[in-house]
Amino acid sequence: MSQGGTSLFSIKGLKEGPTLFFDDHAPFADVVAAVEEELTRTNGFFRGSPIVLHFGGRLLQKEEWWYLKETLHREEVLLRYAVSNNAASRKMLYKEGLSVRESIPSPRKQKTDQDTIPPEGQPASYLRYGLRGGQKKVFDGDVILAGDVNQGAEIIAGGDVVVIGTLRGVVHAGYPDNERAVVIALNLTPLQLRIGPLIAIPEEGQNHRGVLHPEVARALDEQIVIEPYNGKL
Amino acid sequence: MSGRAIVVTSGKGGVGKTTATANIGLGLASQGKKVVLIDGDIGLRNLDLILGVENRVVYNIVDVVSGRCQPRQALVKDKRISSLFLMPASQIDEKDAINTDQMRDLSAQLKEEFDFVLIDCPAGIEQGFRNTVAAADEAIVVTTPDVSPVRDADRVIGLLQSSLGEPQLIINRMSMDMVKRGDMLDQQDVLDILAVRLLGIVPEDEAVVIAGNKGAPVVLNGGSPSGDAYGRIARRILGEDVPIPELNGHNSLAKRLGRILFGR
Repeated sequence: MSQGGTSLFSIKGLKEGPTLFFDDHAPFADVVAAVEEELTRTNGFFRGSPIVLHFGGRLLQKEEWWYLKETLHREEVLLRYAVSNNAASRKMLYKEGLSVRESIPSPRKQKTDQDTIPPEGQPASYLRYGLRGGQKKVFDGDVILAGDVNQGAEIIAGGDVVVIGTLRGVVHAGYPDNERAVVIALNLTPLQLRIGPLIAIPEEGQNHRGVLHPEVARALDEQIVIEPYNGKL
Repeated sequence: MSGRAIVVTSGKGGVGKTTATANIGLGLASQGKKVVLIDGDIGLRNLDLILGVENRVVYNIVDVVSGRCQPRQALVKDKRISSLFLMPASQIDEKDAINTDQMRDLSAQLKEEFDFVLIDCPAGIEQGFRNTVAAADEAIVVTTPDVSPVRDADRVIGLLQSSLGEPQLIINRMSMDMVKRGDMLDQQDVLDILAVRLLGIVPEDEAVVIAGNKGAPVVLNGGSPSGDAYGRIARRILGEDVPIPELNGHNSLAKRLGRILFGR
């Protein structure tokens, strides 16, 4: 494991690639300056191997991100994804087109495909009602709800989430790190969508007004994508 | 005789619970029913003002439950309709001056004498809410067609479903002009989200404000759009099948065209 940098940031060689950990409290301009210095010193060492940026709990401003991005571009450093414990920072970075995570997946939890495809016929939980604001339900495996999941409601499931109704609240499928989980809803307009370690804040959902518009959300290349659901996965 | 105890609630304040309680009560009483309104908003008494009987209040609900007077003594008779009574809230006590059991007992006692016990619930979902809900058999949820009252109504409906079952909904202060311009949620948006039975729609009407200030609820002055709407709501509560005229115009050509053009 290589150690580098100053106290303003540190570089660790993790499984996901070289990871830059930034100090939470130092002025960001100083951090970027230190990164730039390090990149110059290592003279192209990071070129061509995508890195992970870990912003910790810092509330990152858009302008600060631009500043860092410019520096990284200049040094031709590629990005794998960013990690932030700060929801506002994640939202900003996501809007800036970056793949964002809440945490670095721990290596022991890296599952193979075989582990994460549920065995055929594994029972799912079934709720014969929807969830209203302020209601939260947690399930170990897959879950099917006959009803709407309204704004302010929350579902967390270890597996897939199928909503036979309109999904307006917050849903976390594949909790905590199952990226093979999917979310299906007759109308998919959630406030926030999480699959495994990924988070997406969908664009302001279109209001389909009673017209059903089934969609499925899944993780693809560490991004959550939403596509029309036409009867098969 | 055992009457129906109905709580009027909303979660959010300021959406017109008290006004709705007063008007529904007057509407039911003018249909010949014996009605008592309980002001459940201990410490923030308002229903007496809306009814215009503030100068007749002698005892209040806290006096009753603490045994300082009989329920009969605290009841204030309406000055217009003799079958309508008010059980005023206390203006000085705290919200926790009454507990759930006391409220339930009082409601049961009043139900023996009245056809309808309408309970005006305080805003919020704390003790005052729990008290008034415990004392009721049914619930009416009032919301305005705005995003935050609708979200709060959704939360309240969720809380009610575990005790009183599915409430009925009144959408208050609907402005057809704003809906037409696409600046306001329309009734279908609200019903899509809340998914409960619609009891009525009350249009935005300045007559309500004037009536509230004068202490003469709109349902009494025939001809005002909001007063007529409350009259219809009262008849629906009595089981009559009264159409909701505010729902018409919803599918007017102009509206549909607007939806095609603007995707709403």
